[in-house]
Amino acid sequence: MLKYHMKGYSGYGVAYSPFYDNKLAVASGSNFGLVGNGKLIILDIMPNGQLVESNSFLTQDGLFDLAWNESHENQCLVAQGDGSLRLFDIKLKDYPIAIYKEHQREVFSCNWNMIQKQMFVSSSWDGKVKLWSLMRPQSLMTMSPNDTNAASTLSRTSAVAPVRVPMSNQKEHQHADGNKECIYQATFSPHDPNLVLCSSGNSFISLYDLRVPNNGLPQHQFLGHGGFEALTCDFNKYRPHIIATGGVDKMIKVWDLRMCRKMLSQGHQPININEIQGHELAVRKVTWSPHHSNMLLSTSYDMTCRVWTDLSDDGHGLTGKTNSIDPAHGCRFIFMEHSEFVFGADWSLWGTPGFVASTGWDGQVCIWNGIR
Amino acid sequence: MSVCQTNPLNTLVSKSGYRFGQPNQHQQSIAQQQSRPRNNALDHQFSQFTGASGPSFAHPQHQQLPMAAVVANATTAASTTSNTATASDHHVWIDQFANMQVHDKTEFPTDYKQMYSQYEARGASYSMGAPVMVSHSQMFPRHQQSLMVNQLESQAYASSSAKLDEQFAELERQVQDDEKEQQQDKDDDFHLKETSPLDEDQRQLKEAAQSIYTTLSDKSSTTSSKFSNSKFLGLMRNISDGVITLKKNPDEDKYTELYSPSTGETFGEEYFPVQDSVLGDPLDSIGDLSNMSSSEAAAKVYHNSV
Repeated sequence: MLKYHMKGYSGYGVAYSPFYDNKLAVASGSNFGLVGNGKLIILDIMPNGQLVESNSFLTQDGLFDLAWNESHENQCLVAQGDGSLRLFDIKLKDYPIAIYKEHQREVFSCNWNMIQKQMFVSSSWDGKVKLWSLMRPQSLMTMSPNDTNAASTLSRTSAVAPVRVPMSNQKEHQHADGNKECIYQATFSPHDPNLVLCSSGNSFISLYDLRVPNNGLPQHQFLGHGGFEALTCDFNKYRPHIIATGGVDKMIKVWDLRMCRKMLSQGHQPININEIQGHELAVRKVTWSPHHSNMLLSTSYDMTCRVWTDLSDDGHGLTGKTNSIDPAHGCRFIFMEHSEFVFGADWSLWGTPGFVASTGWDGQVCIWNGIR
Repeated sequence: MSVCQTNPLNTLVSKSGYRFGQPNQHQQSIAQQQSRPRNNALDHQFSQFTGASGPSFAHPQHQQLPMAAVVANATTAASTTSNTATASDHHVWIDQFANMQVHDKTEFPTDYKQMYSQYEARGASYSMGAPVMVSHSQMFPRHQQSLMVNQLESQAYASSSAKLDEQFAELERQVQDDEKEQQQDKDDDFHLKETSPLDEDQRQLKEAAQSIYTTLSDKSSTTSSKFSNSKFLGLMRNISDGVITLKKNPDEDKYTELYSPSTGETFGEEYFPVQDSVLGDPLDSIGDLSNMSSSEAAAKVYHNSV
């Protein structure tokens, strides 16, 4: 296992470069991201196994996520607490090469399109998901997943009060309405450049087809975690219809989007094809393996990272099983080295399948093998 | 005549003290409302039957009475539904009824029932071996969900109403303390201008920190030892105790650091102001290269860069 400690900074996101097998970028914030600067740190994995900081960029506010440019080996995008997205060139110093600022509040996630490589998407506490082109300072499209009838009905009538996560308690964060509005993550499908999936604080999972004009409303939407905040979502890299979501109910749920067709109609709830139980606190991030169709990684507030096998698929087809039939709930590996909440994790595309980089509020960046 | 001594109905009557045929007040009132004319006659007949005093069991309504419900497996179903019952038939019927045993053929075997009750006893949190697809969140009592930062309680299922009461009492104490503090602050303001009370944002951070600390610190799970060493939790405790709070940067009018109001010391990371600027395009400095030959343009770019 390799370790690097970012002194004074807490890690929020980590990502392997899609171009270099030895480069990692880490998004971080000082004082656990509560107040103060943020920092983008570029780490190089040296041949002797050391992690070395090759460049870093100090920012005005905490950084909550990052994404490498899929079409340029030196560019890295960060999501910042002041509502801006910033593009850095890791060969340059000090300042970003572009700023994209439209969000009203903290930007919590950003994701680069792997097929139409000039596009990226961001999601924010202001309840918006924005689609951007690299060359334009203004966004191409703004989506409002929380403005649907279903979502507003839920917030009006439901006794389910989404509960609060200690995400980052900057000054305007402490409103009584909690994080209902917050879109914690938005991500493109790796199979179709026009599909965007997002998970929000009102527990809804929303799916957009960018080709369909719909006033910023999603094509499909369903309640993912029974009223608890849905903190994360990810597309399976091999099965185009399969997604995983994680939430404050400590569950990871696997859904088949083909079973989620009539989602906007009231009262129709799709059923998840699998659910994975085991984390002791809220699940912060889930990521499917780039090398396996039935393996995923999760991070949690319980200070662990876990690698799971999705037992509903054996690599060839559906098995009809769920992870609850397994005594270990399909858990393959528990990584316990972190000493605070674990936020970011990414599978390595490089080398032997199974390497994972993780980071958390303890400021550690760890690289380990999750499927030995 | 003691034919019916083993009749379960009799046993029920003798044990419950309820006299069939002597309706209680409720029944009487219903009876009066419905004003059935035959009521008294019926009662009389039925009391005779239950008292086993004689074979006066001739009213067809009586035959429908207990039978329809219980008879399912009784072997005498045919005879009991007969409307042409005679006095001697009654004895036969009563005997059969006394010997009747209710037996459900579709019932599960005893060992299965035992296993199932064992399974039930394990409780909902132990769902191994059964593919439970019900979200656990749906099992939570609703009122728990309204608690702030509830997701951080790993023992959410276990938290009882006693704990809720405790938390409520705690909250009340905090409110009272806050009120006292505010009162004190008001008093102090006359004497000490520098001990300014917390502003809205600082107060909210303090409240959030309090709820985070209380929910995370009283956990009784395997991660509790981890949390006891957590620096974040330590910070939350300090903030909730009022030792540390947000510090505003007067230049940027936003909170940038944590500090201790009593000593004025900065806590945690120092804030460095960062200019909000973008690196220019390096090609901008080259200028206009139109109307130049390639060698002239190359010479100009070369001289500019040297």
